[in-house]
Amino acid sequence: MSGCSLNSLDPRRFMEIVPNREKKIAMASNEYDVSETYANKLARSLHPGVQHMVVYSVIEHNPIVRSYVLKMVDPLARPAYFNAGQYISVQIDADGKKLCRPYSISSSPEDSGKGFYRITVKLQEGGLATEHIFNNWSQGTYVDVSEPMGVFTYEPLRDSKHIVGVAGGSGVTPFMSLAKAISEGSEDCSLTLLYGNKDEESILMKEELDSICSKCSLVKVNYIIGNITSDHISQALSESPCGNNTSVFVCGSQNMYKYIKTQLDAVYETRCMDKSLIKKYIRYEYFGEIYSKDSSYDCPEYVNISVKIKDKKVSFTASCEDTILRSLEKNGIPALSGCRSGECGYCRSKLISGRVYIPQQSDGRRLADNKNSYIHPCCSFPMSDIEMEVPTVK
Amino acid sequence: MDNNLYDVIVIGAGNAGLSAAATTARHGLRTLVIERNLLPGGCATSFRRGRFEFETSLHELANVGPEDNPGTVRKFFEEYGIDIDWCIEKTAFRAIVDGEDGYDVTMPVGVDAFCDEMERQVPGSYDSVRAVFDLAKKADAALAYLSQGKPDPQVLMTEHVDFLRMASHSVNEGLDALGMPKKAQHILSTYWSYLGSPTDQLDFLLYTIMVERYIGLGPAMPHMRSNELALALESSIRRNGGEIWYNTEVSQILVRDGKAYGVRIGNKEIYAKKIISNCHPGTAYKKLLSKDHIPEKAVKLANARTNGMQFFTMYIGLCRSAKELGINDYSVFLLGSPDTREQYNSCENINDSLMIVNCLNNVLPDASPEGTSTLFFTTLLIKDLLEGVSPEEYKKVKNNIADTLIRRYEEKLGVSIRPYIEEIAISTPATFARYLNTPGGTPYGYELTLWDSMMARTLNGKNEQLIGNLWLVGAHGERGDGYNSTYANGRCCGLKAVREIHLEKECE
Repeated sequence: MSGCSLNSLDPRRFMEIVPNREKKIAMASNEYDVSETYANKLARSLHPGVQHMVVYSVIEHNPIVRSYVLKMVDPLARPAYFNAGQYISVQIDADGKKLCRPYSISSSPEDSGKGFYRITVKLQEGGLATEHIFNNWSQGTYVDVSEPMGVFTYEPLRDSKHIVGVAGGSGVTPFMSLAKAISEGSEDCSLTLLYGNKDEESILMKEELDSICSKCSLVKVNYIIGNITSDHISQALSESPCGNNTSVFVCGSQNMYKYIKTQLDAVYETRCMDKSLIKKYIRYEYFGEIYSKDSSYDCPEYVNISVKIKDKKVSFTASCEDTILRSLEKNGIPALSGCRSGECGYCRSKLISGRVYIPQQSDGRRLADNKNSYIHPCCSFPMSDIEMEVPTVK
Repeated sequence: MDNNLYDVIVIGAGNAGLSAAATTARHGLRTLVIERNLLPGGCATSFRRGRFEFETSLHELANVGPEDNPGTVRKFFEEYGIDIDWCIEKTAFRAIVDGEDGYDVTMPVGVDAFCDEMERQVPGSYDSVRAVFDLAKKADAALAYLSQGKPDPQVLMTEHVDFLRMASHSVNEGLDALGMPKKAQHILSTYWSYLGSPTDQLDFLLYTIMVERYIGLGPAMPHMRSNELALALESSIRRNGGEIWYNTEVSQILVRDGKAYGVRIGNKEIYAKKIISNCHPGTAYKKLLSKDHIPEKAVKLANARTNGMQFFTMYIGLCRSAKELGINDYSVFLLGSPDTREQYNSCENINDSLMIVNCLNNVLPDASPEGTSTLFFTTLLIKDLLEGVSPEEYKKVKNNIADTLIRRYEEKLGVSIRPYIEEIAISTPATFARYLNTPGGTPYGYELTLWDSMMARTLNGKNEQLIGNLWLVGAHGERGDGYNSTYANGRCCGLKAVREIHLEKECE
């Protein structure tokens, strides 16, 4: 072999390793220091976990839409800062049924600094949670909410500096926050909002929006009665400083998304826009609750669901027409959830046995989750008796 | 049977915690893992954004090897009945270094190929570089001897003298002793940032073993991201009767008469014969143990050590393929200087800090849908970048940093990615802190240095087990940070727990 060797290094230094270490330890300070690095403090401030809040005031926009202003129970505390477009998951205890529902924050990030969030709730016919809220929430009601969640936000390195917003009905809520954020300077973009409603009476927070527009030239609102069409969108793109490379943010119901997709396809065709950029520029907020499977297959009408939470086990009968999450909630099992659309992973649970159906477009799981039988109960329907494990709610 | 009494409680489902629990469960011990997050794995996980699934931390996994020549990690997973789809890499790394003594080299995998390429890059370096790989074999032999217990100093001095030298000298001292030309030293030292210590303080032993594991057997990536590894270990734990509680935070480790006997969760107490904590000792001491139960020596030890480097990472999904963008490497190191200490010092500011950029599509062809590609940016920091940044300023600050890193990458590589950014997620030290609960979010435990080296930690291990029945495992452990190290650390600890519990049973 070659002349390369470690012979010039003294092997006896090895014997000093332990004495050196013991010496370093002995020489060190014995001060018990509990201080944290700044990064850790910032992490806790941005991600406090559960936030204990209380209803401060209620605003009735119309018979089926109300806004609730929430403040922290601790008068000296402020809720976690967030980015306009995010939502919170609200915990609701409706006659022993523990429900979680996501609501976009319609107040601005700066408002959180002033001590409050505002959420805007639309009463759903037969909706467990919204009925409970409308019947029970008033000034002084305690509400536990999650930290801010969601990715329906302006990202300067991804989105164009001008955003065309497309809102249907109560889908205007995240845009309320964005409009205010722009006017306050906490977001660096401009916004043209196409706000569609079925009639004039349904328009929410018009005064507030008009006020923002009059104060801030970076925000414009086009109120549309009836459907928002490819013409409306095309017009907005023509007026956009970013032209065809303009981000379009859409928020509304599942049905509205189906319709808007066709309109956007038409816009892309007629304006000869680059279709490979569609997923970059067009964003949809999660459409929320999945009520029905879009497919029919053979399965019993009712199945048995057996749930393990930590060291406890519970069993109940469930309908195959309900998502597993809805069945868990109907049976009083506290199940964590976030977006309820299959994306965020908050409800992620282990399927120990049995088969489930997951609509393809709602399957936001990771590759290995699928391989290891992890499901998102919010978008999974039981196809047989199942056994599963659910994480506790803190 | 008392439902509240386990053989082993593992706090934290990071790599070390999971491998410890997989080990104890497999050996028939009643095992409970308690994890404060919703997911297992700590760093070893992934997340979805749009049509992309981003790997959060794994750059490349050493010690996997091909099926017909399996490395320790492949064997480890197979032994636990785990079937992972591995993709072996063919290139070790590309390093682009600035400055007068700068260079742009791409090094292959395989000892022969690596040494040949080194000779091409640095004529006359072949022998010394080859010698490093030979030394790695000697190191393995010595470690095997040590693991049999009761090492004889005479035997060490006569049969494992090079091991003694490697363990007690720095990488630079070792490479100088071999007479390796400086440029070859620099190229060989490219991986130092995987261990977070520059080569003038990192021990030659650990670095040599690591390099051999990457170059010798070929680094690999699991097909379904490191999440696959975490879930596979978790499945193994469950298969063997172990339990895992997610979204559950241990508020205290219960200690009596200097011995740990359980944990408190909220107002409930759960007991165990052995507790294995995958928390950073800083967290364990500050949050989980009451002050009077922490021996003074433990406090001094923690104060003597330096917390590991902090991370800033970015995950970018692009609506063009890697080929279309002209991105052909899997792993590129962008370094401002050939000298590792200077690279370390540059990590004080974001304009010069060392960067590693990985394009998973160049290892896993289907890492993202056709016509798209992903980039994973990593930069390391030695200063608290976020000092004084308020929550209100946070988004702007992190986007400015991200913007700088993208610009540096585009300039260095001569590519354009900005117009094609379809998804982007930015992780700062605060993000890491949130998930890992370590000081500054470091995934690197404590900085390795000659008095806090692999052997220093190992040899003094018994003198540092200061609370009975409690072990601390993780990146701060014997082999330092990294998937390989922490799997080994956890497994080793799991085996210790198994041995002690079996012994205690016999004595009853």
